[in-house]
Amino acid sequence: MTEPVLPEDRARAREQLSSLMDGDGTSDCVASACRLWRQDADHRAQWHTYHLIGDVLRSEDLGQRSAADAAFLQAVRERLAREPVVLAPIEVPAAGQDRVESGVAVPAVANGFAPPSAGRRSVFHLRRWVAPVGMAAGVALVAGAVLVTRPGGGAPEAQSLAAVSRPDRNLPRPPAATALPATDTELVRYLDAHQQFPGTPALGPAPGFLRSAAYAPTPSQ
Amino acid sequence: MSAPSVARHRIRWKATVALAGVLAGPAPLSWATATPQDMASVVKRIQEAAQRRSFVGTYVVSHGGHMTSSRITHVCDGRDQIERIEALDGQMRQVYRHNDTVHVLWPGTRTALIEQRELVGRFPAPLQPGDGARLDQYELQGADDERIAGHMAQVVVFKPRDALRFARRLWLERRTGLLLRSDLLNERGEVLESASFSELQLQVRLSPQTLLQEMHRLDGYKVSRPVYVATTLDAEGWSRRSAVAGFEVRQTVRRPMAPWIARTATGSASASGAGNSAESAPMLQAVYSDGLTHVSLFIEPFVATLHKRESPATMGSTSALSRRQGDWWITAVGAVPIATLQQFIDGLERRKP
Repeated sequence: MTEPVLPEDRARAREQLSSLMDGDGTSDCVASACRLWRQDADHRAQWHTYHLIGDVLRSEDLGQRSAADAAFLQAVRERLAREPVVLAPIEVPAAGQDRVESGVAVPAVANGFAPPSAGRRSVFHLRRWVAPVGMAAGVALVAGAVLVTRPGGGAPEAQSLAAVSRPDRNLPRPPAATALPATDTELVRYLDAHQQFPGTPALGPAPGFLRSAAYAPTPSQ
Repeated sequence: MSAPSVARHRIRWKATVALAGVLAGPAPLSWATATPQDMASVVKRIQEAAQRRSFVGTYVVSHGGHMTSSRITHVCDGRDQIERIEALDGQMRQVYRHNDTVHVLWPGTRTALIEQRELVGRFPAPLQPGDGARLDQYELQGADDERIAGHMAQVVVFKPRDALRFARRLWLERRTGLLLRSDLLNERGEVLESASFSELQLQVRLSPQTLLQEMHRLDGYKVSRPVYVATTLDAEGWSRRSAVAGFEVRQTVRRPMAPWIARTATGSASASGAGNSAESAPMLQAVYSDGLTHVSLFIEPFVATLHKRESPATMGSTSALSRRQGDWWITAVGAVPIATLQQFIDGLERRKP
């Protein structure tokens, strides 16, 4: 589709965008709105404005200057880059849900473009909205745009992201300060000789023996 | 629904709640009775399980950021105990134990070490009062059951009564009492060392003969047999000014410092094991125990080139502290706070001839 330059084209495109945000568009409407969103910077700005209007209507705290949003987004990206890689997938349902909800909730109260039914939404509507957008290209940018409009709610999310990959507190941690590498041969001589004697009568020789076997000496060459 | 039927439903509902109350009521009590509140019975369970059970498992020891894992096969036919421990990390090493006899094999270098460990105490040794296992310095605390290596485990904590030792948290397999995991905790509750089965099979049929054959397959191995001579500090010219609370001496031996060094120094399959080099000069080792942990006190002639560090050093949970005393070099080693090692060294005195 070519860029809509005529005023009526633009107005129709905005209607489609509004429908998309409300989850009321037909599949054709969703496809064309998403395509426009990807191609047209003005369209993306409009998408942002709609969300911003919705945010301000809900709470003035949400309507902050986007310089702070950009700084926040940048900070989130930097922190994400620093996070260790999580090998096991961990669910963070609360944060994800929250994000989607805020994105959808906006246009209901945002403007007159919305169809009459836009005021009444349900979880079912949310799902229907998420699926096609999820399939559209540039979905990462959508998430970014939603995040940008939510400076207040962003911080806890960043924390929960950090919490996900934080290592388990119950795992043994190495003691500080005087710890030495296992290559300290002078010390290892004594440790080996010490561990050779299980010397834990209460626990029976076996556990102590197991433990000492883990330390059993290696022949030095 | 008619009024009587509603009333009946209410009654039935109440009865169900009452029944649930009856069922829930005694549950904490039965838990309490299932948790032995005296240390003797906990210890007895652990010992009996270690003596009677056959098992195969992977045992992981993590300390100070290091981790070693071993594969353990333990066979018990009611009379004999045979055990094979294979190190899974680093150099290949197999440790076999048949009751008191220990064979350590390094297949890579075709070397082996044979030791009799009866000095440590007969195995299985029944727990005797005053056997160094009185545990007076600890109090027992129960905790909620946890799951370890696929088995439900009863959790007990031996909490020290003073600052001279660390706490120990133990996980006992619910049914057999086998020790599944043991953590050493410092005064802030941080884990210093954790030794645990990561995987364990309890119901296994194993042949003791196979293990015994492997244990004695020593063809082509250079075998050394270090000699440990039982003695006492008193007989060696040392005395203790003061005892360290809760610790009793378990055994004192004159031994080569590092039998494996002695072996390479002599360079041949020396039958006696203890060579004549300075490295293998006999040293004294006195082992003290408070029932849960032990401290070794090493006494050897001072050698300026060897003995330099007088500051404490820690590897995982185990610390070492050395001090020169005239012509002697004293080293205390144990999984205890440094202050405890200090007390051991300070209490030692060379008797005037």
